[in-house]
Amino acid sequence: MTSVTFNELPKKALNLIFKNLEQTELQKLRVVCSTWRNFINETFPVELVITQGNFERLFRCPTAASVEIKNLTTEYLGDVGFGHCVQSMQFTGKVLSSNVITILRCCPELVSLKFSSLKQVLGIEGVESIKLPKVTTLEIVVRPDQETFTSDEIIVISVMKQINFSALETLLINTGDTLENWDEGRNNSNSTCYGGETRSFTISELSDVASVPFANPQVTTNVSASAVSEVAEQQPPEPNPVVETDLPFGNSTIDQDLVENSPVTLTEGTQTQAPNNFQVLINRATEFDNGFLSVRDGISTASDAGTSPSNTSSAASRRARYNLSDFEARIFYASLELQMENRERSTWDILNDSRSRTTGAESATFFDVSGLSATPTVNHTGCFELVRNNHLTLKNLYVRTRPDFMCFGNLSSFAREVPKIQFEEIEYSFGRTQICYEHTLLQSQTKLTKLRINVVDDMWQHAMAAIDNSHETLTDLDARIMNVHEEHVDITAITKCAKLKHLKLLHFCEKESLYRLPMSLNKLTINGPISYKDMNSWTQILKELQELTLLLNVQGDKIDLPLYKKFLKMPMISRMSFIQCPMNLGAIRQYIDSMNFPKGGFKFWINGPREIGEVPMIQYVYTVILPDKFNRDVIDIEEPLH
Amino acid sequence: MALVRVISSDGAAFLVSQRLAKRSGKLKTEIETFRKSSDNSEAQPEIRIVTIRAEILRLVLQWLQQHQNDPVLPANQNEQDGRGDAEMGQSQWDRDFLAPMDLGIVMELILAANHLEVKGLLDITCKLVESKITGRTVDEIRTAFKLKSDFKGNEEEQTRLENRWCVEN
Repeated sequence: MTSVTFNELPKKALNLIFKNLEQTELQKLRVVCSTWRNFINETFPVELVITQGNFERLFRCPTAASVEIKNLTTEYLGDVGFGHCVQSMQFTGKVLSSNVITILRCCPELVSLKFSSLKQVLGIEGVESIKLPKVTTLEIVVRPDQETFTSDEIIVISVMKQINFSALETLLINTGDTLENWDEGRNNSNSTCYGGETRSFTISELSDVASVPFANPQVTTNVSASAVSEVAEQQPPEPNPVVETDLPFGNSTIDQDLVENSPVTLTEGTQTQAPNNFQVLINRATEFDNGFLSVRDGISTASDAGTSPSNTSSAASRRARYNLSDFEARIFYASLELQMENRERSTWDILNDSRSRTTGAESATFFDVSGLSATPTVNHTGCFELVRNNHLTLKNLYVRTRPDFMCFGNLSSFAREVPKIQFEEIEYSFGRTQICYEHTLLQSQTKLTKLRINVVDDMWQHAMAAIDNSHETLTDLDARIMNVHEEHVDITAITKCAKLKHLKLLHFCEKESLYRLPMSLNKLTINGPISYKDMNSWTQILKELQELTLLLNVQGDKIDLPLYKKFLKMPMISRMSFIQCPMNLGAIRQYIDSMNFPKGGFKFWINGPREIGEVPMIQYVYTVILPDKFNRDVIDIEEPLH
Repeated sequence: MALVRVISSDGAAFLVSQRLAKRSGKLKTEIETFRKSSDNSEAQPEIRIVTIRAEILRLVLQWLQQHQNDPVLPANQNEQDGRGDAEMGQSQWDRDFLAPMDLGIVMELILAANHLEVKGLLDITCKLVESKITGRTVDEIRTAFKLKSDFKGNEEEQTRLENRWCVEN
């Protein structure tokens, strides 16, 4: 007979045993023996939420690893018990700035500091300078219901300017999202809004959904049948529905005019038998609210793509929720994007924000300097001083600017002062009216890994300089090029980026210059006229390409079945979308239908009914998501190429 | 019915159906490995578990037999939904099954369930141990689990001092 003691149990079992115990109980167990103490210290570090009601007790905790101080407005002058072990500190709600200094002064081991959802920041006079030598990340995030900075964030920035950070690598000052969302959005299972991979459509689920009549709006494009039934229970059938989609467009109000004329019909065809088609005619969206797109008059019951919206009634009285996956949101975004071409910039910006939130995997960032200039009581250069104070160590500055705000010039000026500052990730937007020195900063970059830029006119050359300088490190490039003269379009620098994984070029205007793209690409999105020769070359060289999206290729060459087959045969391809591209549609659809994808892969056709209205709209989105074990050997390319 | 012979560390052999055995992640892998390497598809796999003695192996198989029709849960179920199987419903049979065991046997069952990748059994045994900890004093826990204070110098006193914030209200 053998004897096993508690301390011989594997960590997995210890974790199961301890994980449901309360934090204070766990702390008491540290006294049992050194093994327990060490395990608890390592696996269940103390996380404190200090409030007005418990601060006197919790400030005495000497072992906290992370601390959130929430709505503490009582001035605290005592000892900070956790000062020498806490690594992560967050201030939320009401904040007394003297407390911030008092507490931070006692926390030399702090690595991460964050201010979020600030409601009231009190007291700023007499702030002393202190040192936080180990802080590498500083985040200042506004409340979700705020579109821009308030005086609270400005005061915090002013306080932060007084702090001597000597290791600050990442500075994030944004208007609503956190670093975690950008970095981990793809893995965030709780969110469909930040690019979480929530796509779990299967053909059978789609069929289930599709079999529900559209007069009955418990129809949902959500991820599971259970979600469907849940919606159905909550919403008894009534006529004249209002549809809400979970499109993550943030808390913005969008132009009524924008979406009134943007009917989009989603037509899902599966290879299984009828009735498998479903349609959602989304028409006259009214507002974006809390991440939901409210749409009126939106559901058609007809099965053909050319249904007129007149079939739907306008007296909205019911709601259904469309919880779209990241992928669908992208498609929908693309459709809206096309509506936006000639509309006001303000709306354009809203969509940019929306898209950033939609595609969380992209390193989109908000640095809304507009709020600084709009707030007369603060020093609008505070952010830049914060940057300047830390330019020797900063690696990641998350920047978003609106083109027409002059305070962007401050950053440019700063770039002139500190021309050698190097960032790993930049999001940059150039307005046509900018006459500052943005390019100084951009051109001097040599270690960029991610670059997201909006450029107009000849600014593209400066962006290309940055890309060229950073060609050894760049992995993600997202470039929106507007009104760039053809003679200035040169993508040679891009072809040199041997580590480039993600490439998005929008509004690209040169037809013959994309023959060579980096072989390392995983994801390619291009909007512009693409030649057959170029597309054909991609099928040969882009061996690692997983996702391909062609947008608005209206002036490009036609995609015929042989070319489509070659795309399908690319060894790593898993998703292909062709949005408003000339295609030999009949043959391609017939071919895809003949493939009988097993469960897990599906095709997704969106047809905009051309006969509805006079406004140009997204007319064709043809997407195929290939099954995990797609057998490419069955693809036989016999027909002669174009 | 396809069978598999499972042999404990002390040489006791248990003949169980492959369907039942495959509810253990470890046994399932072993059976599949055997199938791939064997030319004879009718051959009976033999799996030797060198870390689990007969008494414990019998208990594991007994538990599997009782739960053979339960849905198989993913190994990371706890991480996914934040709760263990034990919370999701421990049957009276499970309670009766565990009741007569002393802590030493429970510890061995935990090790066995972990080794054989039987998640449900691991969950309920860990839950049982948790219940033996909750609400007890440090001395009671030391006695129950036969643990001795192995702190050096004044480490224990130091740890107690660190805990004052949560001990004193």
